[in-house]
Amino acid sequence: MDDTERQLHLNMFGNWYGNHRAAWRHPNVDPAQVWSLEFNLNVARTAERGLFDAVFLADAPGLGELSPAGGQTRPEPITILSAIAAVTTHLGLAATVSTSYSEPYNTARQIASLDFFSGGRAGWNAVTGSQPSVAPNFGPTAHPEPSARYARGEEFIEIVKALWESWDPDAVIADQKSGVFVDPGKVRNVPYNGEHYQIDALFNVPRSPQGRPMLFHAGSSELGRQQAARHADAIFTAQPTIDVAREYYADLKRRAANFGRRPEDVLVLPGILPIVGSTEAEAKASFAELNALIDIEASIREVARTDGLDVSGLDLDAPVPTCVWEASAATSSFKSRVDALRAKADEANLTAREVIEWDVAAHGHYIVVGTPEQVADDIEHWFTTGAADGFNYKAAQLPDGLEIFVDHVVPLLQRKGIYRKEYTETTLRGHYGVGPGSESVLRGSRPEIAKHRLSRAVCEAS
Amino acid sequence: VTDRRQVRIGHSVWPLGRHGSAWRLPRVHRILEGDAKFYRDTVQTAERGLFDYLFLGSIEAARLPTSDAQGSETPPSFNAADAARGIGGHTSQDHYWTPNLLYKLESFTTTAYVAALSRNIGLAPTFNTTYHHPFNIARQAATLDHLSGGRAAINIVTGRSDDAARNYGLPESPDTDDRWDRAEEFIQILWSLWDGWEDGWLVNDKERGIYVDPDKIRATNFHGKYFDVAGPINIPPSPQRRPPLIVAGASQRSFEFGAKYADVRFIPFADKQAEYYKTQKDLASMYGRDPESYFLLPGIAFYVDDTSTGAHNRFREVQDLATPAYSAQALGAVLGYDLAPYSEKDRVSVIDLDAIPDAAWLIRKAIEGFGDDNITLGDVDHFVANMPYNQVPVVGSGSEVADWIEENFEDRKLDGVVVFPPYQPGALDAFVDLVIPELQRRGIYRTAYTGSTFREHFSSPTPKAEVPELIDANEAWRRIAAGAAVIDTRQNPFEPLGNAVPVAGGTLAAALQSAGVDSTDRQIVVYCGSIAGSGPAAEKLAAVGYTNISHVDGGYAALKQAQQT
Repeated sequence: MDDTERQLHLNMFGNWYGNHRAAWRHPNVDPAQVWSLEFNLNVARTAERGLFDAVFLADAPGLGELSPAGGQTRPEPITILSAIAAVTTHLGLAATVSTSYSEPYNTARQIASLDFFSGGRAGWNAVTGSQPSVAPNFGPTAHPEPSARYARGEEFIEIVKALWESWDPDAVIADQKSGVFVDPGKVRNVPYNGEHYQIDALFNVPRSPQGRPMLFHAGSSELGRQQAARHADAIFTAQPTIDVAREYYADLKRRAANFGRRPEDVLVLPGILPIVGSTEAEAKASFAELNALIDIEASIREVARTDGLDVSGLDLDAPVPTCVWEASAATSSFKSRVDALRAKADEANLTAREVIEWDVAAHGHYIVVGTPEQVADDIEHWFTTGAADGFNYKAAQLPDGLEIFVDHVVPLLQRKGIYRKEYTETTLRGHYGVGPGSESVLRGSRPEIAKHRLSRAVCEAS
Repeated sequence: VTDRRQVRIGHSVWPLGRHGSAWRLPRVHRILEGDAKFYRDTVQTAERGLFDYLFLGSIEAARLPTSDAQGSETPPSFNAADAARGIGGHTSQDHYWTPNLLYKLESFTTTAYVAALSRNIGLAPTFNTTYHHPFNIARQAATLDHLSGGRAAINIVTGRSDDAARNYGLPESPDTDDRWDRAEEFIQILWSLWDGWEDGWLVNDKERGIYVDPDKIRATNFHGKYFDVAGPINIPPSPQRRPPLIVAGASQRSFEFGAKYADVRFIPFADKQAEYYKTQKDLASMYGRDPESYFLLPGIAFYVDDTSTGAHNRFREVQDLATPAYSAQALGAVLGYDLAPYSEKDRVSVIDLDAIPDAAWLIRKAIEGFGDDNITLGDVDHFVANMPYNQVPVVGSGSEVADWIEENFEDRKLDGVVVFPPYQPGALDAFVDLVIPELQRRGIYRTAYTGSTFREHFSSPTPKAEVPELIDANEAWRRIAAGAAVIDTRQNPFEPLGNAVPVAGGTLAAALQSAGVDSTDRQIVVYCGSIAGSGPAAEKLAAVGYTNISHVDGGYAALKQAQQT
């Protein structure tokens, strides 16, 4: 694709209070809105008005540590997105489903069904689930090590892809005259003999409009990056600064090429949480106002638990000492996040309190605070200098944040010529321009061959 | 007529039509599965018909046709005697393969999609407890209940398909006890997760930054044979908290599971229906439940048209599209009758029905469906080939179909029906336009939604049955003279008295209609040969809401004598 035609992609990150940590405390946020059909549909309609590529829902099948301040409740994504499918016409719909806590046959069916109902707008964000706290909901086995999670995830993804591909597009004949409905030769069994799954499956959903619903991934660790580069059409990532974002971007494109894929078929979409004001000062004031609502003590505990950076007992108004960064990086199960935070702290000379605020305010994602022009310029800068193919847009609070962004920032991006002025495609793959997607290694393979090729992929990943 | 027992109606969605050949109807131009307009039309039509719920079945397996399909000669293992008792069905589907065995979109996805297109109707997705995890189902069902404003129910199946087992890495389906033991754990976990958040959990103190009261949120900590689930769930209580439960199944374990836990049981409709109905209700009583709050609904394939003839023509049109080639051997095996001497063109009268007591009802059903005593063996084969055991066809005009529902409803063979569309599109519209107004006119179906949740649709007041008054013959004549409607329930209603309308050969409902009974407080006098006959009929009328029912001590003889003196 010619560089002048390269278009920015915007993905709406669905967290219906908003993505600022303290969004639920914002006066315009109603705690019931997350659960309201009308609210959900209206957010989606606004995103569609803003010509977003997709709305995406994160997920975790568990409550985590219960804190009085937490708004950790989560609706189940496929349910919400199926409802949204009914009232939208173009917006893509990407659901997170954990490969550790579901079954490939069930997930393949639900996503393929969503693809049918939406006319080809479904996507699946395949995560392994990094939170140990959810494992006891699916016990009694303890939370597996990352390598085991990724090995299972690899098998899971392969099976799902193979199921989606197991019906040829022309398998259903439905010849009313002869009464022949299906060509049985064009519907294949998916035999699979792996470490985690031994199945011989016959899929019961015909080839969906996209054939392969779009595959998203959010891998950051070494294993995660390999899996993302191998399978994903688009990758969500938390990159707190443009420098680390560029490194990540180049790394993922290189890895994708190593898997024999076209780099432009693997899109990198960092998260961005814009705080937009009519003046820079106004935007900064809004940010400070929201940050003041953060429960700092609970946040310190949470960052220690989830990211492995423990600043408890430190002077919160001084920088985090080097030894704390090093110790955290050495012990964290989420080392990439610690590294990213450290880069941000170095760049902006943040105090320990601000590190925590910046981390939890947008859960480690890039935050930009300024006027619509500043935000649009910043987006363009990332987009044109090898840091992003688009963004996973995170409204600070909903519905206000999204409305402001769509009404004031989107027109500027269009004026710059980097963002669509209307939808030109009808499918999610069409919006992202990522082609038909990577083929399953299982397609047409005998099970033992598939297993061999798979284990090689896992080895390469580890 | 608010205190009268009300018919409940669900609609089972089948985009190709439930009849295996209906997709071949010329007016079906495309596959409707996943078609936005089809689902919008379906939910809106069902809602126009004030249905209690939309039902989405599920299969966790696909079945491809054997080589020549789509028309093979494999002998069936359909057993008419079992089917008469509502058990089993086609255990080998090779001969009876239909596209409905091949694929089905996932039902939670489907119900969430139509939730956005509807306002009142209940939504019931299906899942298999053997192949899902309760934590995931708890979240999907609770989310659906939230989004739909309390309209969700869940239909639990345990499945017995080996095809499904292989899709999940099991060599074969677990045995019945194993599956239902797992289902027992499953439901306990669902309820515990949903109950885990007590009322008052939301503090929403923005000032102090306190969102929830952690003391109101309890873990589940379930440790069972099949599941270990810690909880709590990460979803606050939904409008119904515990979405109602629908159950189906043919095993004793399934019967008991339903009697213990379910709000609705999806049942067959077969020859020994009253017995089946009573067994299920009694089982609910045995488990200490009010049997009136356990609703038994068979799935029926309704062919409805403006006229009786039109409906039977529609029925034949669909049957004639059946693909399996006629097989004397296959049909003979189903009926338990040697059909080798006959051809498919021979009339069904070649079969001696007395010789096949278990299967005779199938032939009677086929004759009813075609509306023709002279159907051929080929017709019967087509009928059997496309009659899954629990969706018998009912064919007729709007009032005939309403008669059928009312009669079986009053005879306590069902509490309502799940409407299966034999063909698409149009079958549901015909039911809504032609049958619903008839049911409403008879006072046994709502004329507007009065609740907004699934549970509310099913919780209209339980009727308090009046004890019918026993009167002597002289009092009966006084009431008759004052304008009471008179119903004669004798088997052979020779020379009825007092312009009585005989029931024999028809339904009680039809008799009331002929007698001009247009309100539930009309004086009605029932007589029979004795009170042994009039009592049950009078009680039945009282039970469905008639308030001025009496029956005559001494019956016909006493009335006759009193008339002469």
